[in-house]
Amino acid sequence: MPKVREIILTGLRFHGILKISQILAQAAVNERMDVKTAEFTNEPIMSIEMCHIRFGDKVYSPLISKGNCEVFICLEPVSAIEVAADYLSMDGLMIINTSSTLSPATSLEPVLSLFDQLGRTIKLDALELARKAGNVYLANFVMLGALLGSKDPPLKIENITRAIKNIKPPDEIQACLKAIDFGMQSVIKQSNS
Amino acid sequence: MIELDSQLISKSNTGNQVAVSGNAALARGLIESSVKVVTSYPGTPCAEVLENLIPFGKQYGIYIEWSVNEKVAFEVAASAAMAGIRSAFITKHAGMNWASDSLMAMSYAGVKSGMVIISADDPGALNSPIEQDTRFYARMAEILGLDPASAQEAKDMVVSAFEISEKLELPVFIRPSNRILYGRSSLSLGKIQQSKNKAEFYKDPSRWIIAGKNAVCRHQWLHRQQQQLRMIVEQGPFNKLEMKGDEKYGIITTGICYYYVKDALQSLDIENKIAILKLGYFNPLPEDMIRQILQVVEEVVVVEELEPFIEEGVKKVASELKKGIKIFGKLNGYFPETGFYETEMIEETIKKRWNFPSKKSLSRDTIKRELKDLKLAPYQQITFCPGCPHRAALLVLKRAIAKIKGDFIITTDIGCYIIGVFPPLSLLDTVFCMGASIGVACGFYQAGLKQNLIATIGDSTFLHAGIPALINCCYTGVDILVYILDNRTVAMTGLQPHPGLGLTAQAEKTKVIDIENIVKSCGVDYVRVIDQFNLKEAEDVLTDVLKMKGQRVVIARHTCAQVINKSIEQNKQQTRAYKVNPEKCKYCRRCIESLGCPAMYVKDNKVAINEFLCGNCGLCVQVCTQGAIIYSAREKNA
Ligand code: SF4
Ligand code: SF4
Repeated sequence: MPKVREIILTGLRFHGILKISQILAQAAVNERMDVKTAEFTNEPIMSIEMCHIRFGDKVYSPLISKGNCEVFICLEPVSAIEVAADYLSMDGLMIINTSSTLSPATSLEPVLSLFDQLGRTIKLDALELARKAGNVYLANFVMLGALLGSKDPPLKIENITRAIKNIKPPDEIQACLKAIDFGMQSVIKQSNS
Repeated sequence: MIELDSQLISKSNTGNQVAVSGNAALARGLIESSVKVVTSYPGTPCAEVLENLIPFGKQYGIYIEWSVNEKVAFEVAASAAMAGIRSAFITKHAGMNWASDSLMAMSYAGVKSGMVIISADDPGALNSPIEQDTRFYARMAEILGLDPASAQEAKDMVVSAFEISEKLELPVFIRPSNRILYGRSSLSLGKIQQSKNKAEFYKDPSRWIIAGKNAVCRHQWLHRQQQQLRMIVEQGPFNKLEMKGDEKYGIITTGICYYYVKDALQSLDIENKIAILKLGYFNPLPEDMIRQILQVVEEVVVVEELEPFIEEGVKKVASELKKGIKIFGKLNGYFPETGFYETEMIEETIKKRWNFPSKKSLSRDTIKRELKDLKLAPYQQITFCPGCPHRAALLVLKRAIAKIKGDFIITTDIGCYIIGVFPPLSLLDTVFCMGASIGVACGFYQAGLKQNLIATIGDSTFLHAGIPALINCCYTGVDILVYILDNRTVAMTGLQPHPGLGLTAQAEKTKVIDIENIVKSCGVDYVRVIDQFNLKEAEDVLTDVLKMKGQRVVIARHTCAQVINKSIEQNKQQTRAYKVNPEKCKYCRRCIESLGCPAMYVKDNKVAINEFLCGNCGLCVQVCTQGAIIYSAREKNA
């Protein structure tokens, strides 16, 4: 059975992770793969959202089993660490936004160091990069860019772009692509240094 | 908010592959079937079927309605199908309880054109207040019941259901579950049919007057239809038997659980050792299919979420076989009887029951222990959105109660306001179902409880189920304050309109059904509308009203923060946010502790406001005694 790619996204509602899951799913279909996602949301209350994304030649369940997640992307580190500890596979990768909304006050250091103990991490300040790309609501696209910039990216950038064009109004596409690029560049810079 | 897939399902052509949610797949199924009337009352996890349909309803000539409640919604859809027009009624599980009254009578009469009932179940109560198994309604009404395992199947079932419904002149029941509806998957699109049906009502008292002798005759007719239903469930395309014929063990499953089973077997590397029967039909139960697998295997595991609906049927078939087959499921404790299922749980049961070796067992226990030490729990708290009108409404109520030092019981209803049960408000005492706040308070009163009674209910909930209960209060003379939290939308399910707003589901202007006038004509002693964001005035009104006797209604009217955000986004308006002046903040924490607004946090022993989250409501400004909170410009929200 060929490999199924397994990605988890988490964040607070305003981060808009479901938009990213929508884009990844469509991009996977654009690459003629089978895809299933499971979206955990409690809309529209302020709450933590999670999304499981699985794609490959043939996908059965939309749920990722504990210990199987290959890439864990989190926009809100404080809320995500427990989930990461449950789901991440032993050689999994975590992509973490370091600007927390839930605890901008207290130091994030203890939480971030726990992530490091869990496995490989890529860290970036997604809110700051999003701000540079146009506005903070693009932090989700920055994280998508980070995924694409990581080693062995699961999907082709052309197919992601095509998926974005399918669902975003034309005047917003440029900003999204810019945010993706910032995310990608930041990861590439990190792996070179 | 779930991202909608309207674009993908409306524009793409036959044969195209798209990745869409289960809700969008159902919507596409309705379009392909050329449905003409679709009704519902907003409820998660299936509100997005209509949300996906609405943007292009006109293009396909579909009339779409958010009805005042599910009973009316069902009647609108059913009668359209009686008049020869294809229709669909969409509801969440609890809404099916409301519609069931009409379903029982109208299934005797049947339909002239196709009618599909989609009733979404919510194992684990992930997106609704309760978990209930609505498959029983299909059995009670003696109509065909289908359970999709994927979005693709959900769409295909809709198309097939319309054909069967039209042929047998009976509504067909589809029961998708939350995991399919809230999640995307590849969907291959089918042909959009053109309907030639014309609206016509054939007068026929023997069919449409369901009462007395007629009712018994039609019930007999319904029973005669069962023969055909039994054939359909055995031969239809949605069952799947994966069996070589020499297996010792078998699994019978349905819906999304089929895929959990597939993953579990793959993970245990025993895919070819176990026979699987996946059922797509649950009413009537495909007994011949079940017999086929039971004749081969010695032991069978039944995997289904919620009630042991299929398991009981399997037991019955097994007992007739006189073969001593062992059956494992919920009834003998092999699977939980509540909550949602996951692959791991099924893997575990299969492994234990049949002694298969497990491949992996790695855990990160030390890290989990360290996590507990970090005490991350408070962040998980559920709170109102920043700028939520319910926060203000319940805050003034709490203050008024504190002022008169009375003893109160506060019953509440279904809506965002149930968050008021959590700190810092910690205000509400009961919540059950639509409209129950007022009815429950009536019972407390008649029981002779000494406490004063307050029922809080939302605007849409009041129109849906509160009116008869309020009439009951007035009729029987209950002393009560009914506090209507009118946030001008159905918020919890994704900001749908209701009859009080003057807007239809398809965003056309219509009559405004005025809640204040309804309340008056129910016969109450007092009614007053307030804006709760004017804290001082609202608190004074409530303090006075709480001291009165009789049936009093206060309507706290202010638009939901999410509706405001949405319109700001649509109009690309520049907004402002509040900011704390650290010079002035004395760090008394009054604001944070009384409001629990998620936009507020603490930084360097001062309160601060997160500019992205601030809902711009000004509540904290009124709570702060130091004048430390001020207006500031905010970044553009593009
Ligand atoms: S959606 Fe509206 S009503 Fe519900 S919690 Fe948010 S602001 Fe309040
Ligand atoms: S920070 Fe103040 S103004 Fe902003 S949403 Fe919260 S209470 Fe309202």
